[in-house]
Amino acid sequence: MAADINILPGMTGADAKKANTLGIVLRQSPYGASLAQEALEVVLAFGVYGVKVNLVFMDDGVFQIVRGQDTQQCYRKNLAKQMAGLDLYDIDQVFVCQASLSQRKLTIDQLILRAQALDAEELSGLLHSQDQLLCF
Amino acid sequence: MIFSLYIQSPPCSATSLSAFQFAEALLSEGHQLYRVFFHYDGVYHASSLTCPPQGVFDLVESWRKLQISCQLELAVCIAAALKRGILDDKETARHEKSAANLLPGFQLSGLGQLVDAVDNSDRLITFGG
Repeated sequence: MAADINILPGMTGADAKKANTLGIVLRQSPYGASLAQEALEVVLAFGVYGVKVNLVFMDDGVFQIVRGQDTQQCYRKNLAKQMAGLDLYDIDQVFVCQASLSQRKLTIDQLILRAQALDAEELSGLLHSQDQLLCF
Repeated sequence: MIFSLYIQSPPCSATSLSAFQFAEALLSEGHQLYRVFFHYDGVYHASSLTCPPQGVFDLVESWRKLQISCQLELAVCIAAALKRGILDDKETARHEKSAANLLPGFQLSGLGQLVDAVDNSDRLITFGG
């Protein structure tokens, strides 16, 4: 994954830290298509450059961080295992949509990341406060 | 305003048509298009082998023409492209494949270009996959 991230000429760690706050919203189920995996590569790329990322899981995206994923039978890389290493890239601002959890009969205790559950109003406020947004 | 576009949808989708029309509209309104970054199935925009049927809007060719006329930067995520069989000459040789098919005007690049686009644009608009 990290091999995909090219270092731009002249772009240093100091430059990257001037970058804006970025909200990244993950809404896709982990294994239905490969978008979730490729989205994670984007999340890590911004982490490598020191961008302040606020990561939001909502809709079927909450399944990406549910504990107990076993992908041995379906020839896919385990997304949850990769997600568990996000704090190594300084991505520790993680939020989850409470309504998305409730609709899917999930609780915050079932998640592999320490995430803050937000209601609709709080989520809307968070997304509005970001300088940029990326959606997957 | 300075815009960048982030295109995840393949060329044969309504979302991608919207992306192109959005690019045309923002340019005609006098805004700047800093970069268009193609990722996920959006990398198929960079294939030189697409043959749309007669009478159907040729989106791939349209991006190529817009790139030339407006000097646009069309960046294609290299990892997503390789996975989907979109290669330039260098990657064709590196992976010992039979032919290159990257359309002129598009460039394979890393996710650093997306990070740079976010940093240098007022707005990054995602056209989802």
